Amino acid sequence: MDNKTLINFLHPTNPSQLLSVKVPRDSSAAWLVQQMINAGFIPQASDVGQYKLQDTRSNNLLHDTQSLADAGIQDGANLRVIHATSGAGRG
Amino acid sequence: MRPAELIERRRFDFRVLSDMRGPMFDFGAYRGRGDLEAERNEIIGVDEGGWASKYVMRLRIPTLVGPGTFRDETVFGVDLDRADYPLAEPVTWLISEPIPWSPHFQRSSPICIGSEFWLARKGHVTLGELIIHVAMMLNWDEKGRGPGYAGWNDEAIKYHADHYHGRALNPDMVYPALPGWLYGDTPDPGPDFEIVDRRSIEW
Repeated sequence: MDNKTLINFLHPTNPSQLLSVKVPRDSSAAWLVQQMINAGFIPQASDVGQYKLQDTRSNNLLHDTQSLADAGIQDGANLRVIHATSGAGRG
Repeated sequence: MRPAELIERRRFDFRVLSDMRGPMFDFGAYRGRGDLEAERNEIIGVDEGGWASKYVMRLRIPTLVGPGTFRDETVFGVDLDRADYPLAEPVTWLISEPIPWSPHFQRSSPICIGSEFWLARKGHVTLGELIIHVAMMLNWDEKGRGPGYAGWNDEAIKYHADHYHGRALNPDMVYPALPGWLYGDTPDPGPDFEIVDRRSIEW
């Protein structure tokens, strides 16, 4: 069984920018953010914790240490990358 | 180099570059010149990296484009489709305008990377090191090629000597870095974070 899941990340300031990746289901939110920085998809923040991930289906925010599996993120999910200073917004 | 070995070498270059992406550096990789010029069918994943032979490199290193005039980004092409690569240096060409005001850059000419940088290493040099080398040239951060060297722009050399006295344009510049796994400093991250697509979409 493939332990990887397909995730689509939406850029924090330009939602039309999409990054699709296959990652292990036990990947934590903080690790995913760091990989997106390494890949040049989002700029380096002074603290990785400034970025949050939000499931567009449920609007749930992932904690930094929470894994995709623990958060119930499904294969093919869209995760919005949110910069803490821009706020998560409502609804 | 056998075709299979060349594919592995190209995949290796692609992996090195992929792990160097960041605020200062980004790139696009393609199979052919037509795809590069049309910016279509970009190679995204390492699995396909062995077929990447044409690159668009984007370095965000402020550089002189005239006396006291700077440009923040320089874009150039790299072509690996030449006999004897990687023993022979890849072909380079400038894409962005205006071109850097420097002895190493000239319109319609390859970037003058110096034979000591690539050829003397007999293939033991990667595209990642080329990126750092060009970044340092854009920042005028080099030991120089000796008195009397004029390169393609004697006027720029004199300007730099008068205004910067041999120093880099930005002495505090932090350049793109080779991935730690290349030196064994960190474990090879492998393909855990496997990019399958990167695109702009219309909602």
